[in-house]
Amino acid sequence: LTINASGNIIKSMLRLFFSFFPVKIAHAHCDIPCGIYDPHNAQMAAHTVLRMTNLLKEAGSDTHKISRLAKVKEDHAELLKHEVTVLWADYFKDEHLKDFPNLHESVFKILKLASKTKQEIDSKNAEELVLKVQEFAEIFWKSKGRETIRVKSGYPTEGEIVLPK
Amino acid sequence: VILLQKFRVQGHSMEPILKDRSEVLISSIPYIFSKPRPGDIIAFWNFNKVFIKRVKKEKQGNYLVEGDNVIDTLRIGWITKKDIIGKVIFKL
Repeated sequence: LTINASGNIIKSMLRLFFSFFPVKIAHAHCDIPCGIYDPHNAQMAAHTVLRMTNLLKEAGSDTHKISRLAKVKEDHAELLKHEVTVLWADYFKDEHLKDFPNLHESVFKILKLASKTKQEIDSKNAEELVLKVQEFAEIFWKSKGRETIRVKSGYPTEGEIVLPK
Repeated sequence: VILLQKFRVQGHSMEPILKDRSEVLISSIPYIFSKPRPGDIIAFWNFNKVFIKRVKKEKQGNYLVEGDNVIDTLRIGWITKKDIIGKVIFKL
């Protein structure tokens, strides 16, 4: 520090004087766990939305089954939006935009698509959501200097997931 | 220009020098005459919040900031000069 109070008396006087000043908060903490970010949950959520969409199309008139599938679809679309938003807001920084100028547009499209998959039972939208989240995952890993690979997810959707090499 | 602003530190990332709930005085006056230097403790805007960290590196007007307490610090990375509110000039 440029200046530091040398004696307790001086320091006490200064504290008293500045106690009349309004105080603002300066954050010196982190989101725990520190620096642990991963787009994997968003990808799993996207596949879940696709799976629920496909199952809803086959659900017939069983209202109990329909309501359960719809709830899971709703929940995972919302989870996906949360996961992507956290990465966008907390992980990505201004300097990433130089290398990934489409980042904001990518996030905007994902959030809009996720909302659309909640409103409708449309496999095309759900499939596009999976693809957009995969592209977002690739941006994320590239921003960390990691190459990526698309592998078979092993999920009933038979789609792929993006992993770091 | 901020002549003097009192801030309360919230969190542990600047320990041991700045403990949680300690208070500091911040001023932008020092940065009128010189640019922030590695080692300075600064307050700056990041995602609409004020953070307090130490400058680690300077590169072409961008500043790498980190907390002293490496096990409890948010990875903020590089910020620009316009984000900087001022320098910590006094620990109350």
